[in-house]
Amino acid sequence: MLLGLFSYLSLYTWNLRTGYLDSLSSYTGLEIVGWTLLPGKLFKAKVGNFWNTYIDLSDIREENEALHQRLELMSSTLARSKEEAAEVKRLRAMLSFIPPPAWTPIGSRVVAFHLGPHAALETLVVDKGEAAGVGLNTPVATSKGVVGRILRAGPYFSTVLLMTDLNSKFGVLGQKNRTPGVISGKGIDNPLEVLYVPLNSPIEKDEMLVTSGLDGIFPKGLPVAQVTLIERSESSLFLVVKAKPLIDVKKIEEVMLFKYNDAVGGGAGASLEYLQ
Amino acid sequence: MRTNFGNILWWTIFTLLGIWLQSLIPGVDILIVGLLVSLQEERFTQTLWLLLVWMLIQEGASGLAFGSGILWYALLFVFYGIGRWLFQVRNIFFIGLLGALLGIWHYCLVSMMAALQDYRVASDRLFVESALQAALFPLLWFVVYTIRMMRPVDAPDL
Repeated sequence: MLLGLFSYLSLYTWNLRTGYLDSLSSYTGLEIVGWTLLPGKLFKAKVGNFWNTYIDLSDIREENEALHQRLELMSSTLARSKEEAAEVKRLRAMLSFIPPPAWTPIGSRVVAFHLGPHAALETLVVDKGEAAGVGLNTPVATSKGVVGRILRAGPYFSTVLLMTDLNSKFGVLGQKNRTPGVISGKGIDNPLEVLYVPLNSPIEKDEMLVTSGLDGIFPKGLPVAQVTLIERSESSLFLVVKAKPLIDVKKIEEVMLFKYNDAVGGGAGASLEYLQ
Repeated sequence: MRTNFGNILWWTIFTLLGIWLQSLIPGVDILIVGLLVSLQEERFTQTLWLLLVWMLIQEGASGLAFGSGILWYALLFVFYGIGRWLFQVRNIFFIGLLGALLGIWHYCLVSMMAALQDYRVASDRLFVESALQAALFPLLWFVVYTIRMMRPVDAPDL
């Protein structure tokens, strides 16, 4: 028994140092899981689309009108944003700022959520892997906001660590007041917490939080959460700030993975090119 | 050869259905039920192959470093070995007891392995998953064992 325990501990620590067994399980087990679940997800999506398009036409007219109005609002917002982006580009050139690196978005489908008996972390399985240029820490988001980052990548499927997980932390900024902080997950049903916000920092309730890009993982400017609570702590130098994520992780079906382009360029707004 | 192919096909379908069921019930191991049935059939080569494949599947889907699966399935073998010495291993009460032990072990194992890697785990969610594992284990075993026994080659001797 002692020999068995010694062998196990040796194997475990060897794997922690080298990652070979993790890679083996990603290249075999994760792929088996992905290829098993993906056909069913695709079938479900096709049936759902057919049902919504041809059979369940209730409320379609109302939804259509609401979407038209939203589209008009978004178009005017986009026009203003383009003007501001052009101004930033000119100012960057005047000040000789190096333009931010470009990110390429890759669409991906969610295959599974929190799978298996050892799923200690809040994770998703998505159908893109190293073959698509995805790797460890690749950022994951939807059009509404950040989802998380790649924790483990196989050839064609990857595991995503959700931002609501207790072990997820990354840098954010208030969109209006530009106050920096570190946003931390507190569990899937709990609000996020923004750490290390000094007591006198300008931050408001309902202010949008975006990625700061300072952690070197997420592109700058991706929407993350909305501030819901600000309290002064009697025993700390920092404010207690809670935020609600912009996406409902339980209902995500498709995500975007952001592949980092080594070639620097693209000009102002390159970090947000995916929005155009 | 025909029996072997039929057996492989049976376990392949079981694996695929098990993965699907695991996607519907997060945090619970469905495949371990098949491992117990294989142990009860006393087909050790079959059991080893199933163990190898299923361990890779569970480790691949896991967010923890490789190693949890070895301890998880090792305790099944230990509990089964002790149970075989003391009880009737096809008795539903033994299966229920085994399910309870696995539920407790699930909580302890995930907590311990997460702590080794400096990960924090949501204790309340882990508790619910462990309870589900304990509760579903005897039910799933009964279904799988019954279906398995319907195969003519596996019918018990009268």
